[in-house]
Amino acid sequence: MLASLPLLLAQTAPVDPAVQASGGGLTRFLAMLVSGIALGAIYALLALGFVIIFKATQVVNFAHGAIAAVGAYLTAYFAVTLNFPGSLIGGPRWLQWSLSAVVAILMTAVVGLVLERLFIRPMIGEPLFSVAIITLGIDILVRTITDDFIGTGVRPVGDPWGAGIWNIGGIRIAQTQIVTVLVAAAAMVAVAAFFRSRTGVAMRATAFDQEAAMAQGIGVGRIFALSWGIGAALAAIAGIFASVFPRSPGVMATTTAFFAFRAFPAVILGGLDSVGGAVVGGFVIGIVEVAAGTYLSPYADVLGVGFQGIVPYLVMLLVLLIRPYGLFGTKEIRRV
Amino acid sequence: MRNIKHRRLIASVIALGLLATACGDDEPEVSDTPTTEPADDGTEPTGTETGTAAPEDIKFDVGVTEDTITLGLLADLTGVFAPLVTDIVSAQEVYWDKVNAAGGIAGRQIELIVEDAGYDVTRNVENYEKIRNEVAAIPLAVGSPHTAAIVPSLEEDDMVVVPLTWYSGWADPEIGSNVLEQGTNYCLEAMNVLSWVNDNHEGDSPPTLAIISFPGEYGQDGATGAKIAAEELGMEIVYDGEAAVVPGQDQTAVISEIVRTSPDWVFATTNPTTLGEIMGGAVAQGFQGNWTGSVPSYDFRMLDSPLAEAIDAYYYQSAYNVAFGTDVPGMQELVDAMTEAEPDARVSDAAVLGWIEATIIDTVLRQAAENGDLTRAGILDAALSIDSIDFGGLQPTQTYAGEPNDYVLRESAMFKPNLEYYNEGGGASATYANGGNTGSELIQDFFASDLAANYDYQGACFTG
Repeated sequence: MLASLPLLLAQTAPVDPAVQASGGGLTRFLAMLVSGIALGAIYALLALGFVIIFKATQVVNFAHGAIAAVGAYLTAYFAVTLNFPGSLIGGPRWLQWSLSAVVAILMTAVVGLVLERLFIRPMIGEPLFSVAIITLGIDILVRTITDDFIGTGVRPVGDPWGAGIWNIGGIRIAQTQIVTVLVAAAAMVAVAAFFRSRTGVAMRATAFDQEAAMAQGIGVGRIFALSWGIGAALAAIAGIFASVFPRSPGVMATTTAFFAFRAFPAVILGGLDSVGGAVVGGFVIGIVEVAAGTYLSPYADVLGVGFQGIVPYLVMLLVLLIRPYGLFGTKEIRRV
Repeated sequence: MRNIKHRRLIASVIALGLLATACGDDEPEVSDTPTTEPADDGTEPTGTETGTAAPEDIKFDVGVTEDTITLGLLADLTGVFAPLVTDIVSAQEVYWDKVNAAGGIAGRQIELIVEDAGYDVTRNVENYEKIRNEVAAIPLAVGSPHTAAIVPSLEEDDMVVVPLTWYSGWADPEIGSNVLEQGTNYCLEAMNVLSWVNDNHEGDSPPTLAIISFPGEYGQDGATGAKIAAEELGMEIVYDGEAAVVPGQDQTAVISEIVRTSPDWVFATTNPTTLGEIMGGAVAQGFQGNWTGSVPSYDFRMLDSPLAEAIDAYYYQSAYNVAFGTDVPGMQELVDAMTEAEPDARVSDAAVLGWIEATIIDTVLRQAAENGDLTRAGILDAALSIDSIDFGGLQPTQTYAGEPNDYVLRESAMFKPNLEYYNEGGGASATYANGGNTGSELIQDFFASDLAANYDYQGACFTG
């Protein structure tokens, strides 16, 4: 069994010569920027989901991460375990995987609708604080069940890009990072288009004044459900791309669900009720976090372990000191 | 009114009774069963035969009855080491079922209590409190800081544990006299691994090194050993990431430093998923150095992830025991038992680990039974007196008798994850029934480097 020693260890080239040849500073900056934008795209998707649910229902959904994990798990299940619907219709691998992901995203949206109908709708008219606490309960419930399905190991989502790298002008970019940004951009455009549609306008009206919206014949319950459905779908997309190379080896119990909480600074930074703010906040926080990790890492001895995780909160605090409702949040006026 | 008074009286009597029972639980009494002097006929405490003391003549206390011996597993079934520990627990269950089917130990059936702490120190302490008056020994205790937190209680209870942690402090009687460590500790392991790296490096000068680790007794014990080795071997540490890796956090800073400093080798003391994040990030940025690390850093299931090719190309795996399926005498019994009990379960290197841990406690209990003393103090005495526990080549023989510097294990083996070999065995579909493998090929049989062999063990390498 003693295998022949694969000792090709002599003077390995630790960094790809293409990377070294392209120069240090600029390459490093651009690589950081790409990585930050890709992370920011995931944060932006998560933040969008948070904001849409908040705008429509005035509830901060603490179960958002658990829902993201549902989407990621379902993608792994449909794409890797079942290859559904790919095995039925054939076609190139990227198409088969994309269809599996779409099925998973739609099913996660249904999960969002069901959660809203079971736990949130009965709470209409109750104090918002109570509803927010209920979402904490939903988080534990959904996360526990999802973690059971995920199991103890890592479940790769089976995306067709794998560990593929594109070398663009000497800058190495993971293919998944490009796909993440493109998909996130498409999702954001879709959300913007939705808000211009008739139903989207109804959602905006509901967000502005529920009673007035009802008086105009808008089904507020239906809008609530829709916001949870859309929010869940966005969370699922974020969950999928948070579980791919190079950021993660796959979907993991607890870890995938908790990832969503890292998007909180993005939500607050942008403004809890601002769709545009969620997008801007997501990208800002993503880039700031990666930049801090990249450029401050030599000072980890002084700054402490995990300092890059704190930097987004520092940025958020700084912004809140100047603009208490976030960059784009609606200023709330109270007369006393 | 009379009824109420009557009920109060009954309630008071019941309460007093419960109180008395509760008090009695605190100091478990040794059984009144007559005892005999331990017989000594030279019988080896291995196999499935009962020891020389008649079962009814053996002293016993907590966790042992006339018919049963209860053991506790302090597991992590939901935390960062869940994949590893789940397989270990499964292998231990199969092992003890096999022991029970063969008549048990000293005529007693083995019962297991499994508690999950999710790799949380506080929960682990709570779990120990829950089982401390119910079990005779603990053949699995996960986590270095987790086990360290219960050491005072273990000593108070005369409880022996086999830790799923290779912290170098366990052999130090001042830290863990009740902890029956298994395999070579993180510190000596790091010396072996880096000696192997250095020996196989063909450059003019020793290879450069990055060290990355979790904070705490696990990560920093490995990192300390790596630093000792690097200094002795003249390896330059271009990035010192000791304690810089915190699971669940963003790893950009660590990745960035690895890529920036561009070492020939990265030595990791982390867990597999975190290593996957870091390795993925570094490889994506073009880093092509080699990787190795403490055993728990790697899980063969990483070969199912997009990192498979990078693992195949760059990762070298250290080992305290042989991988599943390696051709050693003790393997067949394990393979047969797992195949019969769990034919459709996925093969796992951790099964070997679970088997070894159970073998330690099995041997100790048989020795205690042979000594006629299955009290916890008797089990501890037996553990500290056995000359040699043989694992049939699954790992080097182990003892806890004598001076720590004489008995600490110093050998490691090296394996290479091999994607082609893994896929030939069925990859993710490899089960015990279909004879699959974990993709780990032995490239260096057990060896003790000069550094490890000559290391004067006087206690833990890392003490916090």
